[in-house]
Amino acid sequence: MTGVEPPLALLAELTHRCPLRCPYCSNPLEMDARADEMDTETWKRVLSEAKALGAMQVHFSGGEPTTRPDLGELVSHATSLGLYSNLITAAVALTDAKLTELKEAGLAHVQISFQGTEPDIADRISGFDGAFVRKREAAERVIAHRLALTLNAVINRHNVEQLPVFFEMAAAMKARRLEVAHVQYYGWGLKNRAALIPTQAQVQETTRLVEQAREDYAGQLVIDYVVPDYYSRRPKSCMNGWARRFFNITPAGKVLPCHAAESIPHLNFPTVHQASLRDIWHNDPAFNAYRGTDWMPETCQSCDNKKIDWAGCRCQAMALTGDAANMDPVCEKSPFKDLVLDLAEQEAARETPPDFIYRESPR
Amino acid sequence: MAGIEITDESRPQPAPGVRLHFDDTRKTWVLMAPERVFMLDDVAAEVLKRCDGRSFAELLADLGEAFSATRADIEDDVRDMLTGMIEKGAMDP
Repeated sequence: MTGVEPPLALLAELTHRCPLRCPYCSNPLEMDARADEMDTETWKRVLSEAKALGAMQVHFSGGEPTTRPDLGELVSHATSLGLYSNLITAAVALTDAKLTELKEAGLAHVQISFQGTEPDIADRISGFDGAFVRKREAAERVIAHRLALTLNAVINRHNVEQLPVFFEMAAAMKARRLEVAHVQYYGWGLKNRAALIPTQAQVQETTRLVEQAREDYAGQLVIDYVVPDYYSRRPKSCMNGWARRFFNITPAGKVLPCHAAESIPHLNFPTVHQASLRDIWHNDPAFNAYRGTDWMPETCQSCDNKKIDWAGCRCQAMALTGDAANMDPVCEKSPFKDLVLDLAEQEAARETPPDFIYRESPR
Repeated sequence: MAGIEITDESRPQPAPGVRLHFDDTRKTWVLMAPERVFMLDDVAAEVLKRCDGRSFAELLADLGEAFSATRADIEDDVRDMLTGMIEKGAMDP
């Protein structure tokens, strides 16, 4: 394939181990064990290759990336290459000493997830007693270290009514950015969809509140918004197009166009042990499988939005229609749209949702 | 947008976590921000390179000298560009 642009960013999943047990975790159902995690030197080589390929930012994520004792060393290496480092953390063990080390290593930004605006709901969703208070204290430490802070509010039926408090909480914590991110229904989220999905009316209300808050907090708080797109007319521009802007590396070194891509069973993804990132990005068959527009079904080919939403999400097409090459079934042009909407509405309407199936940390 | 006003005494600077950076791969200046990248054209880059704590009035004078332009020639464009960056949370007034 010619004319492939370089990637903007790399999501580095350093480990799948995590103290939290969130039932919508974005990690795959089959997680990498500690024994299979790549060592420091391999990660450094990978970061160097990512920079040489054109990546500008690295998102250190997991699992919980601070469980890796070499995080500071990896951030420092990224900084020396000229990469911008983001830390995506649960922040239940983000100490002053760790923040000092990371700041000195050149870390630019910390994103902390919040499962609610008070301990009862937040601790129940994260499956960790005391998580909320620890996160709130960690957020204060991030600001005290003069690091940029983003709050990531993960929205579902249990905390959707707390959204107005999330805005106040983010502003009070001096975060400059808030992600209002409805749970996405892949992997663990799909498994727990009936326990998590809000109603269409609740989603519409969050959209209205976000639009209002963007005005109220202009110049103070940037608000990013991600909807559960079962209720949308058009799909999201998932990853801004398959293998177009981002890639993901798993703890064991598998290279993916997105963190959920392994849910597409017929694709074989390469590892950093087999080929260079440059070779993978440009030539790997799995990366080229849904790149650009040539692969799209006819309805998408003739749609004005094809270079806006890139036919939506391959993993969602896989999960809900059984074929990753179908258009995203949440699109109103999809023959599966009514089915998807019925599923969502029936599950959201249940008065008593099922219990969570918590994600457990790998050994 | 309400609430954002740049005066002569404003000292526009990158917001926390925002860094001006020259990208070797794309041969272009970019503004790196938390989980986002703003690609800059040559004009924006020249403006932002000078946003180092100096006042808006000083910024305009310096740009005018560097590019042989009067304040009237450039003021509106520079103000609009910076206001846009402030709205996006990349710069603080």
